[in-house]
Amino acid sequence: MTQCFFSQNNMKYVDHKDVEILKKFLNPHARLLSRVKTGVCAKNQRKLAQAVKRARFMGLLPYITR
Amino acid sequence: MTENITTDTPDVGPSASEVLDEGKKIYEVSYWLVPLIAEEGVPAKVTEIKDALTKFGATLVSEEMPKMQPIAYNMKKVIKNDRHTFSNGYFGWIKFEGEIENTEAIGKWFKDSDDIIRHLVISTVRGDTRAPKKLQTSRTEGEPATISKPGVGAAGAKKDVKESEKPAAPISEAELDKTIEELVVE
Repeated sequence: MTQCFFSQNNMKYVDHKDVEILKKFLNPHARLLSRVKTGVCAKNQRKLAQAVKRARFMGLLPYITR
Repeated sequence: MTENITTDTPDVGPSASEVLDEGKKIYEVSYWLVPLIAEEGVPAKVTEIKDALTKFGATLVSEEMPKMQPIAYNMKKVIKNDRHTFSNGYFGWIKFEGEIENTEAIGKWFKDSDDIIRHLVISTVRGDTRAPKKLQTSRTEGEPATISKPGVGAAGAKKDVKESEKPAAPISEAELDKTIEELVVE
């Protein structure tokens, strides 16, 4: 059983400016991966989704690729 | 008369852990400056932004100077009745402590500015929310220090186990001796 990436690294917040981290949780179409695939706990998955949406709005991540 | 102040409030939300003035919270505004500004003119623009924030009663906490970088998709902005499309710009952010009522006015100032392509005001905490530079490295020793891949849920983990469990080709003792002898001869 894998532990949540954010809990494992003691990351209390998911920052929308941490683009390199957020990219790890996106598929080739730039869509957010599901919890089954990310292995992130529900609480942090919600934070992750919020951060990705903010990063997209700010043009740090694309809405869609390919 | 003294007021009863409860200090044992549960730690909920980012602002609860910090003692702030009534009605004040920590906010962060991230913004894109237009690439039409020369590199030397950026600090002046940042000072202008900071002055505007101070004017709205904000106290600056931390900031990052805008850096030129590509935007993930083209952004449009009308500047003096001219529609511009930008594919890069200067991205920066400022953290400040301000009153809730003023955030709307701050947002409007950013929106009306001709030098700012886009901005986002969010509620945050005083400390650094960014990920630490050195993240969790791979668990097995001897491997190069890499960030552990999060994209391995149940399915991914199984795949990894399968790959690692692949048995090596069985070698009998006689064969092993033979190969050692060959090596010694050489």
